Amino acid sequence: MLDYYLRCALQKTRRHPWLASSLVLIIGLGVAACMTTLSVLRAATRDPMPGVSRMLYAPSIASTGEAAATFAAAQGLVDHATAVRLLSAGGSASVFADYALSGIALPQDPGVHPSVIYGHAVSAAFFPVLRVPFVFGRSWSASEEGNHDLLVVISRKLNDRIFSGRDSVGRTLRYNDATFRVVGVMDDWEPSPRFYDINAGNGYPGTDEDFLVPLESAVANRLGSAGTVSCVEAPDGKGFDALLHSGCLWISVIAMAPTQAGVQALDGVLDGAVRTSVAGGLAGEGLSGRMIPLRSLMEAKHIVPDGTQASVVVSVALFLGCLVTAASLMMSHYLGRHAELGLRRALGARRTDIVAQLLVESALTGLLGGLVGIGLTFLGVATVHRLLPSGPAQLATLQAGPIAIALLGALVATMLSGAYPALSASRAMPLAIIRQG
Amino acid sequence: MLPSRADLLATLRQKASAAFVVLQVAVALAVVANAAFIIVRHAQTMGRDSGVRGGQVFSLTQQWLDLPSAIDKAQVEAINAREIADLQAIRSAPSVENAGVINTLPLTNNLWTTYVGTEPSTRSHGVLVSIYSGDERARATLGLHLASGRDFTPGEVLAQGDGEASAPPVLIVSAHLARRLFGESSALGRLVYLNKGEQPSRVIGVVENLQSPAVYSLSDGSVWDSVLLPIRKASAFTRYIVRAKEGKVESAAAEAKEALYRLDPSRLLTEGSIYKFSDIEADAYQFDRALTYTMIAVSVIMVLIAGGGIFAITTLWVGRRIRSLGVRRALGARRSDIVVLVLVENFFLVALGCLAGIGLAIGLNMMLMKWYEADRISVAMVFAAAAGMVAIGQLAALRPALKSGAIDPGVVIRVI
Repeated sequence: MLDYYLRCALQKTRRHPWLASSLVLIIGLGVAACMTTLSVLRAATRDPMPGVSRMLYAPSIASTGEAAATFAAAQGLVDHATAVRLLSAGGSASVFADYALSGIALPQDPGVHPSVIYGHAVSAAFFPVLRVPFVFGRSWSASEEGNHDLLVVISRKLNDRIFSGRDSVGRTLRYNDATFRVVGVMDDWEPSPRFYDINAGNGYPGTDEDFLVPLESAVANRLGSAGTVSCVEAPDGKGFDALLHSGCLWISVIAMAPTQAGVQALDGVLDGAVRTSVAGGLAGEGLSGRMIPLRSLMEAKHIVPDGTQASVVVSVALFLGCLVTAASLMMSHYLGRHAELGLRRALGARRTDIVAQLLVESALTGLLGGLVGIGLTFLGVATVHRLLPSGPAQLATLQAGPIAIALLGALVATMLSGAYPALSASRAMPLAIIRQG
Repeated sequence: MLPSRADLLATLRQKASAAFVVLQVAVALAVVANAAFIIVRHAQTMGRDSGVRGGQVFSLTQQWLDLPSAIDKAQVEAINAREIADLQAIRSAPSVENAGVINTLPLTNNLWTTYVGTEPSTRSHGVLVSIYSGDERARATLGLHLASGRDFTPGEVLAQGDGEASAPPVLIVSAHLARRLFGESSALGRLVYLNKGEQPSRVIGVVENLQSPAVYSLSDGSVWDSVLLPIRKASAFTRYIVRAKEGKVESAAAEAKEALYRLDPSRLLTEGSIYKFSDIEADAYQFDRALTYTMIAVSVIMVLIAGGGIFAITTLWVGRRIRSLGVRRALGARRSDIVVLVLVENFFLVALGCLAGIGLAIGLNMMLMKWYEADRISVAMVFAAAAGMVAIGQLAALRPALKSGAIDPGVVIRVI
């Protein structure tokens, strides 16, 4: 029976090409608008560490004083003294701290130009929490970090650029006026958004992670921060030492806490650290601290650009509008066919047969509309990539899952919108039709 | 002859068709009004005047490779001398009109902030401001309009190392900050204190407008509170700003780069060293622009589709009433009466749809409110969209209306 209806539907499509193609195009445009805006939303709200991020927490300092806005804007960052206390808190949580570095890599091999490289000073727990993979070598050991050895882990890309991709473990990297020994080469691993330095480019810094050095070595060698430094009070004095002993917020801390108890223990450490902090006159600002889930930090930082969700809501409304139009077109089309439908009724077709036939027609329209919509979505996503050369939209892609859902959605929605027209068309009076001839 | 009340009631009796038109118009109105709301919202962000007359301006960043990362007092002087020599070389290039040095630029998100108050070391923090540090030519090169007062003199420009933060004796403020600090009275000659310090700085100039480097992260008011300090920051990294002569940005950039390399070939000038201010603006607002385009596309699609739907329904409905319209004609109604009847019917339904649509538009807007806390759709915008829908409805009904006017009464009567 179904294939008979399908043949009927195809025949109708051939007989009314304009109507059929308008219907398909209308459904397609609605599907494409929803799919394009949704794919951008999916990219913008993507989870940087699937399965892990719900265990990740970041410090948040609140103030009841006048500088409340400064503290609110610097969520995720702490001063050096607080970072040290969080790092040595122990307990069930793994805690790491980091800050951004950038400088010039001076080549030793002839024919390699100096270049600006970007990286982070990180503490040891960074590697297990982020599951950094290695091509060559390894990360540094706790004792090496404690000795303030100048060690560096470089990315595969940087290794390709300055060591022509060979195993560079044991070689040296000249960074500004310091010389680091390479202990490892990382495979590709970077999470997006870069949640451990959320202020840089709002999570999408646009630069690669070229190198990582031990936090303690970086601090001991006075490697200045290339990232956000947020001060309520200017440091007392100048240079790196003044920053180190100030209450300025510049070190990012992330804790991986599998249990609630682990988070609460860190809450206590953080709160105690900021309440007793006298460095830079932080005390007296009515400070309190607690660990907030990574999700809250990302929301507070507006990682998802304003308007992303709004565009999805408006697109869905557009799709509903498309369905209403499709329904009215089907309505007018079916009523125009009342002679044919009446004749079928007169020849013994039941009302359910008529409804079924018309629903198969609308299902076919929906399916074709969905296919056209997916084609248009590819255009839409390509346009979005061109309009938004940086940021999360570059990660917008079309995947099999959403495509399947869109096809099914278009089919079901079109059938629903065709239901009323089909029901009303099935009321065609066989007798009246026959009498008219 | 205008259609009677009975005619309009008859229209409503065509339940399905009437309901489709009303629903169509309501959804379309909600979509178009909210798309317009989003467009206006983001166009306002994009339309902000940074204060920079930027068509001919580019920034040129460079780095000296032969400097240690810790810079002492003697090196501050040496770097200062290098910067002055660099700037002279850039300015002598034929396509260059002016050049200066500055720490950051509007819309680059490269933000330095401090607090400015009108009393020394006050308990209150004062006003949060964005800091620009530059030389005596920075203002003119950027094209910031000097509302009152004067520029820095070369002698007033201090050389400071990294982390040095003593307040300069003079500074320039934005007009918005001047108003916040001093109300309507003139800010010129008044003293302000940076970062709760003891040392006063005297306001010697007020620029009409100077937007913060922060694109989104500052609240609406703070974006316009800026100070320009007469400080040349001495570090290995320098940002020069260059104003090219009219239409000569490309050649000025090439000449400036060449001039710098001639003075010191070992410095680092990268691919991204030259950054035109027009590109800075375009990059900063890329999301707002993309969203605006998307919403324009959505509105156009919605209007076309809704117009098409109304056209289809009106055609259907005229077709179903050929007989009754023909009888009307036979009984003396003129062509124009029939055309007016169809158009008025359409107006009636579209107006009903608009009523429903205003409710739907506001409901949809309340959903959007979750992400746009501060704003709300304006009633004027909804009514403008409603007026637009009425016009589109009439346009869509025009062809079927004219066709119905052309019904031949003779044919219809013969069939009966």
